[in-house]
Amino acid sequence: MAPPNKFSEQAQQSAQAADQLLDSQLEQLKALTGEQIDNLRIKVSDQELYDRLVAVVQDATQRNLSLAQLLGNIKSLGGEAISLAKEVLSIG
Amino acid sequence: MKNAATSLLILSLFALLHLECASVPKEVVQLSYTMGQDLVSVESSYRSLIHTHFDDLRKDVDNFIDNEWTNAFLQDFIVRTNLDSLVKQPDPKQVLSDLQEWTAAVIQQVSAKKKGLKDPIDQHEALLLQDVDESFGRIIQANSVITNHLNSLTKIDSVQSETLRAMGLGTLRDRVNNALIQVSDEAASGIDKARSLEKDLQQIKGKIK
Repeated sequence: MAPPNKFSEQAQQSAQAADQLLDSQLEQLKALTGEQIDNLRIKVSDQELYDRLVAVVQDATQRNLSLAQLLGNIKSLGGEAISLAKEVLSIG
Repeated sequence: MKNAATSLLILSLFALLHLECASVPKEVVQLSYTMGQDLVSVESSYRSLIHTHFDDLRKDVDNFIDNEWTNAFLQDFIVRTNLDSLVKQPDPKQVLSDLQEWTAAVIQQVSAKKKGLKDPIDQHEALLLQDVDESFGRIIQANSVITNHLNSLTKIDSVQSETLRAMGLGTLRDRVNNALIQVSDEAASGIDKARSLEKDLQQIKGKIK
């Protein structure tokens, strides 16, 4: 541990004197960041709304994928299934 | 067995014929995916701009401290510590030791002052970057959900088309769509005619009065 600096206290007093002298400029420097951060913030809708909408869309997506799989299965059943389907359609 | 297969087919045909009339081009998935990729690039640029902006603020602090505050501080400190008498001490070793300590005190105060002004800037920057990450993350995730959904629509569209084609009904959907468009046009034309008739009727009523 370094020995205490004998000028520390005086240095602190000088720092306070400089702060008082340049008070308005220091405040301006501090205010600048606070004001600008508000302007830079992105204002998007809240997470709750996103979560709710995403859940609905994901559910619909899952249903679409299941339907696509069902149709794919019909197609993969092959010629017999197609013939049957044609018969069903002609009856309809 | 054949009855079960027929039932399945009827069910499937119902699904197959329950066609979405809107067409879903594959490019819609590509467009949505491309937007997702571009959003990542926009986020990266936005982050860079924030870094640049906050670096400028830190430079402002450095300039202020180096050019103004340190001058004011030194003017006071030189007088307060009676620097003139310190350097005029008879023992050169003592002069050197005191000057080292004196300089260390100056450096410590200047560094502390800079840190005191830069810490809030660093904190604001970190908060803002976190805010940007969360916001863009939300938008990018939502866009990927939309991309997946559009992809599921194109899958259905594609399988429906292939299956209908295999059944010799390749033009069915187009015919359904065209018929619907025709019906829609006729309905619009009918509405226009009805509006025109109503207008004529109002004019006649006006004349009678």
